[in-house]
Amino acid sequence: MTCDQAQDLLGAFVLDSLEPLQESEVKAHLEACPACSREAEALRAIAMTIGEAVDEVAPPPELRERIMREVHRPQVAPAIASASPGRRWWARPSAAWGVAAVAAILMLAAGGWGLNEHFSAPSPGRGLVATALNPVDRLIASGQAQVLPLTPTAGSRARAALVTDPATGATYVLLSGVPPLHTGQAYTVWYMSLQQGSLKAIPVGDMTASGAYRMPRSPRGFLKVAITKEPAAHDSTPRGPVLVEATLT
Amino acid sequence: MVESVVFSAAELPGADTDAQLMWRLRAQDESALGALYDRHAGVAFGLAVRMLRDHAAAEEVVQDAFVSLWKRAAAYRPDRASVRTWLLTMVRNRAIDRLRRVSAKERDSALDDGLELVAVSDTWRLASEGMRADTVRGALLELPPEQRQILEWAYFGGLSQGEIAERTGIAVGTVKSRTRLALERLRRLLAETLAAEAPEL
Repeated sequence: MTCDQAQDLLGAFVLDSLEPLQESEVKAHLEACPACSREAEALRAIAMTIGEAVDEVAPPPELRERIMREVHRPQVAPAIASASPGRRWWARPSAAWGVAAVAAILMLAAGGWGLNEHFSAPSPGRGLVATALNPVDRLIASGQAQVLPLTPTAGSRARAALVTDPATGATYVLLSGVPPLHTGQAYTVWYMSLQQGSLKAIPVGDMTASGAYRMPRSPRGFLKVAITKEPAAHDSTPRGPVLVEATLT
Repeated sequence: MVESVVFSAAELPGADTDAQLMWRLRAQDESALGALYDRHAGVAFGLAVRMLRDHAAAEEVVQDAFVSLWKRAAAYRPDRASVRTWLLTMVRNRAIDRLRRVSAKERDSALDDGLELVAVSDTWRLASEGMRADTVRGALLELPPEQRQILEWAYFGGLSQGEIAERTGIAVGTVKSRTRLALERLRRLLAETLAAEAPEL
């Protein structure tokens, strides 16, 4: 199929209106032709706005309840982020560490926070990255992010995940569901490795509230990552309770 | 203290946007799904009713779409589509399955993944976040009637190009070209309207 032939069919293609045979021909062309592929994507963006034109119709009140009931069942938990097709060194926590993480827990903040357009200007002195585009969002949006949800320990309301950029090794911890701490306390990130049969933990950084934090180093090569709540500034040994943890491979 | 704080909950006030709600959805926050439902169920149900003309079937389709939104939140790509567009596309995919009598088991879930929505530009992306029903409606109304009809049959009716050709009595090749022209024109009309409505962009 030539570009001209494909272009002529793109309108019908993005509306899923081609016959199957022709559709597969167009698909094959798009896979081989970045220019036509870009045009198809742009046209599809237009086509998919057509649905916005409908008159709203109020659904029956029980529909909301049915949906909430259905998602409340644990087996409907979100699957591991398919936004992270390239993950390699991530593994589900092994049986030895308990429950396998099935949820793509990225973050949950008490106040919520925004993606790009709501990323507020950095406040002086807090170290916020002074870019209009939040780097974690950008990473997720790239489709290249490697996401490892950390499993909450029993009774813990904390939710956390490690997000890594495989290209640069930049690692972020997303922490949510925890109350802000008093001065002197900390949520501490630990990387752990097995040394002479026992687990050694090194403190990676302290956090004081839900948020996304750039880690100073990648967890590559470590066995396990955990976040604890520390009663005082960290030393070399975790003393507070473990809130979330996961095993790396 | 971790030196490089990207952002912290304490520092970003404001009501939840759809994008924020999607973050919370990824963390399995059911209240976020409730909030998204309250915001978009009307248009989702409106779309399903318009396509299926059957309230019971429309309810099933909308339920399925919201459950998918929940399950597949991690696959959401904010740079590709607004949450509303993604949701409506899932509603439409499911409604078309029904119209074409494809069983749910046969459905290729890649259909949702295959949603290759890419912003034409940042301006477009920002604008499309706030795309209003009457903006799209107005643009559709400005299309020549025969072009609008083709788009509506294909989008809402799930009709193939051959079926549209049969209904209109025009050649299939012409239907295909007109579909393409109609979308091009819709793109220009939407861009013009958005530029007029949002000069600050």
